[in-house]
Amino acid sequence: MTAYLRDVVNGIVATQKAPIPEDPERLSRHIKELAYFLRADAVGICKLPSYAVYTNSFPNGESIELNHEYAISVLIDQDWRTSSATMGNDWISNSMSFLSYSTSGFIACIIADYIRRLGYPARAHHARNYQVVVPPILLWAGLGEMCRIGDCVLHPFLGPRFKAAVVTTDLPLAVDKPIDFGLQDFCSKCAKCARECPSGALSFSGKVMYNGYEHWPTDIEKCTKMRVGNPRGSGCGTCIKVCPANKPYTPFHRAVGWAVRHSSMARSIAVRADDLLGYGKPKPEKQWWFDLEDVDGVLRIPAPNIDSEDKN
Amino acid sequence: MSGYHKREFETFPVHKLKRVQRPTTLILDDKVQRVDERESGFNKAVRGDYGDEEIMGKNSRQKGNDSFPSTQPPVPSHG
Repeated sequence: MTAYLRDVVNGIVATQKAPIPEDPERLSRHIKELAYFLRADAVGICKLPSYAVYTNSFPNGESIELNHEYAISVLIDQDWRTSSATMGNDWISNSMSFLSYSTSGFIACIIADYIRRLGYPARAHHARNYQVVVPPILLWAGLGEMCRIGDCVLHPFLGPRFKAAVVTTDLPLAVDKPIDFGLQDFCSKCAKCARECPSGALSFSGKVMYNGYEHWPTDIEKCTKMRVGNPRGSGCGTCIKVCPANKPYTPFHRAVGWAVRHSSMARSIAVRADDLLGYGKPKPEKQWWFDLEDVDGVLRIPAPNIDSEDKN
Repeated sequence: MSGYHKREFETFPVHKLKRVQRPTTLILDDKVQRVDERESGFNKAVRGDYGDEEIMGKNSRQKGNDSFPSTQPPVPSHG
């Protein structure tokens, strides 16, 4: 679906500025309300770091010049119900990913178009047409902290179960601050994603510095080979599936989340309890989708999933 | 300001989170080098940097992104 959004990320800016308030706080609030109206699950705003802009685009390598001052990030949940049913690397896996990319991209394109109609430059960035690196933008916009899952940002309420799109603009906005909800301590104690990763791409070790960023190292080649070449499913999101932060937004999990955000001891208990309570396992009785594989334009039932049989 | 503008409008109670001046993982702003989008994992796979077997779409089992129907873009109408 995101393919249809590839060419609508940018456009003509209205020659006359609309009669709107000049107060950045009100404008930020307005843009966030617009994003939630369009069904975003979380929104954050930050200054656009210059290092978050790619040097060259894919696939043709054109040089990228992007001097917008602000970045608006839009997150879309990949759906808890589906996440609880899947094993993370079966046939629905890539749909969860790309439908969130599509939805966030759709919202970003509408917001960018709206801002241009107000008379300010704006460009959407989504999975099929990026000019920016998303993770540092999410960190600065207060939408999460870096987690053990390779170069991914984890949201305090959605966990890693989201995809993001971004709008860059010169509309004067008030920015959010980064957040601290104890995730560095939590991921240091938990390595469930590394333990369950079918490709062995995630690390059990501590954080390292790479290109000026502190992060948990990941073998990107192993991860990509698994997601691109998975013979028993479409893509892979096992790390997202098994992460203890991947939970529904129920009163119980909200209470646990509050404790985990405020107490190191609660984090230690939560890491162990997640396994003891059986979280992270697939629930085939909740599977609503049909396992189907496209072979040269014809849909067929895939061969049985051996891993799934083992785990159930 | 009207009551409409005072209401909590966000899905999650993000206003209750602890806010800090910088991200909790170190970023050396003056050391981070901008990167080339062509060097991302998926884009390397597309051009075959990870081997022929991992080229996206090479065969039915390795299409990755598009081998499940609800991931594929709709076919345009001809009617």
